[in-house]
Amino acid sequence: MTAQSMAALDSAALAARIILQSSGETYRAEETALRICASFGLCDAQIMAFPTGFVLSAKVDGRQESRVFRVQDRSIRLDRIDKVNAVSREVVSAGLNEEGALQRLLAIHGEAPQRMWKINLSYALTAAFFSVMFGGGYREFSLCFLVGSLTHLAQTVLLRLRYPSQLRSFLLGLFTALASVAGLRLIQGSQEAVITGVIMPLLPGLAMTNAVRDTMRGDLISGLARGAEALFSAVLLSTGVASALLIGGL
Amino acid sequence: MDVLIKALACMAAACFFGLILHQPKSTLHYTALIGLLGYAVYTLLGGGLLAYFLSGLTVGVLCELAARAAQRTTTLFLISAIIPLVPGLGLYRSMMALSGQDYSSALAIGIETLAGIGAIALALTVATALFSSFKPNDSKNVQD
Repeated sequence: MTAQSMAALDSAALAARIILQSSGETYRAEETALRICASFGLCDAQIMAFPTGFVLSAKVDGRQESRVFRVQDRSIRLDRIDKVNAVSREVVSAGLNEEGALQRLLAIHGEAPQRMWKINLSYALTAAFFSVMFGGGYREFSLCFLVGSLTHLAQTVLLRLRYPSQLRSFLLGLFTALASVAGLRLIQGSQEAVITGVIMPLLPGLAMTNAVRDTMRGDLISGLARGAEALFSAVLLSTGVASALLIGGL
Repeated sequence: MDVLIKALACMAAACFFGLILHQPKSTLHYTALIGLLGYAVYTLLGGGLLAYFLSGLTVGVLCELAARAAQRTTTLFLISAIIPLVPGLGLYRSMMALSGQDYSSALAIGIETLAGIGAIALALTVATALFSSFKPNDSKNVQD
């Protein structure tokens, strides 16, 4: 097997891997890998992707070669999905070669996420502006800013401790509501605006949209898996909030 | 004045939510505008399932159009633009009723919220279907 065709298969596999690890749609991972294979002249390419891994196989210099990858940790990285998409477009229409594509994809793969404090600030501001949207004033805004920032910290800690995502939803719902209720003891304000503002960024909007988009492309397994993920985490988040309200009401 | 503040808050919230997801900065103005339009449609229709559906449809269609105009993928715009519509308020109110042991209103609001999420999902499905290109000669489809 020549180094060139090896790079072709590796870049297709890496593209699929980055998309799945960045929480991209499953059909996008499949289509991108197949498109890259076809452009590099690998025939009989087949891929089967799930939100949690993929199998890619193609005929390379007369032999059937395959790549298997299990996606363990996913994070939401829209920037990486966008960049992989750009690389795949260049491969198809701008004549980017095998080595070039692999280098570009490796660079995207190694790209560090935004700094923690920037994400934390965005999180806090999202929560704060949502509380204003739900009828809060400047007091609700500042309380939401504080609780939102703490929630993001709690989320980061739970991620580091490798808590399963559903348990994380419950604990975060519990934490945000408890923190809001505690904060409202100190500052007067509307409990509804504060708690709703803080839980908005926690709601599974991405899982819901991806479930719809995967199902529409005929990717039923991924669609159902993502739909179940969205439903479970919304229900568990609400259960967490309800438990906190029960505790707070005592 | 109150409406203006809420509109600005909605745009800002959608933008900052996009930043949490590492959305490229050059696409944030689309998100802010589409998010605001979706929320405006929802508010003007006065809530309810039809409002969820039509505002979801507005957001879905506008995102597909924006993706084509900017030559980027639809997902980039969609996730942060749809978030102001997600019924967090209904979720909170039903949990509040549940913790106050007012089960009938907890159930009523809870079902309304879930149906609202369903209506948004349905609207996104319709929007995606309107714009998806079907390729009958795709080798993948032939083998099924």
